[in-house]
Amino acid sequence: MTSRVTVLTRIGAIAVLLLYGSKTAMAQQVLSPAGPIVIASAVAGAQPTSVVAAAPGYSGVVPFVGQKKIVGQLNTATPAGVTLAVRITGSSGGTSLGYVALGIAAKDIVIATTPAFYSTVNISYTLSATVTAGVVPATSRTVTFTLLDYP
Amino acid sequence: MSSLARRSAAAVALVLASASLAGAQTATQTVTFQVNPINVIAFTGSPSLTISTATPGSATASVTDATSNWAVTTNQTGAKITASIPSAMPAGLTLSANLTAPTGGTSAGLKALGVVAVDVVTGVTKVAQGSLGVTYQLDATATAGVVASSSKVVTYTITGGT
Repeated sequence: MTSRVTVLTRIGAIAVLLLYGSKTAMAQQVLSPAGPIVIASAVAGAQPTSVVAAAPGYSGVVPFVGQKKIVGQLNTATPAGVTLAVRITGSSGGTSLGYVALGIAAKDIVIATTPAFYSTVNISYTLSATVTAGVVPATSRTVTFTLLDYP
Repeated sequence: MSSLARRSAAAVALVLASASLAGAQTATQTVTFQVNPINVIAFTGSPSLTISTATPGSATASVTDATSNWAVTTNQTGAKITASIPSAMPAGLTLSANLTAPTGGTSAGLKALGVVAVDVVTGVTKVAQGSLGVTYQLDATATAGVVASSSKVVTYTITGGT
């Protein structure tokens, strides 16, 4: 009896350790990079032509009860005159808010998601710039998506 | 199952649940972007100039056409627009162009066109503006005589600044 309990205890401990490691690794999932997104043209008399770019998305199981929303934010503001917007869509079970301009403050990107939403998550960005932005050398921003309870 | 075994199973289940939620809570993606130099212009209109009258005693006769427009977009500083024609005008005839400058730019005023490009607008800086006027003027001296209908293609070029 004692040895049986010991074995079960060890199995439990090992499972907890493995899961703890798994939790640490998954706590901040890093998606594949997007871009470079390049604005290189304009219609004479108009602002530079915005560019839409599909980005690597996410596909997986995200179990939870109820509904959640996804908010997004940048680590650093974009240069003046440059706007980076993101749109996230899923296969089902959520309401995309369309292209949402990103900033350093978190903004709702998708609301009312259910676990089904995360089976196939598509991400796309639009890059817009006014002429006042001037020429912007290649630069990167980190977009952080966070899952929060909804409503 | 013993109570210890049940506790272990419960602990596993709890950690599983929290691991799933924790894993879904945050994701990051690096986005790289850039804006290249952009310098574009466009012209509209089909101007036509015909000299058919003159002031008695005057050495030259002139007509103007202000039906054309142009537009520009540049995200650089100090761009300029030049103009040229592919072949020289007949002797005694002068074709000139006067472009309205966009905000912040400077028009060179009425400039005679030739095969060598001349600056017509300078100092064009980070602007997107359309419906800017273009006025063409044709001047003729008496020595030009009668000139049959002829066309010239005016080539405008924008040169980016910095």
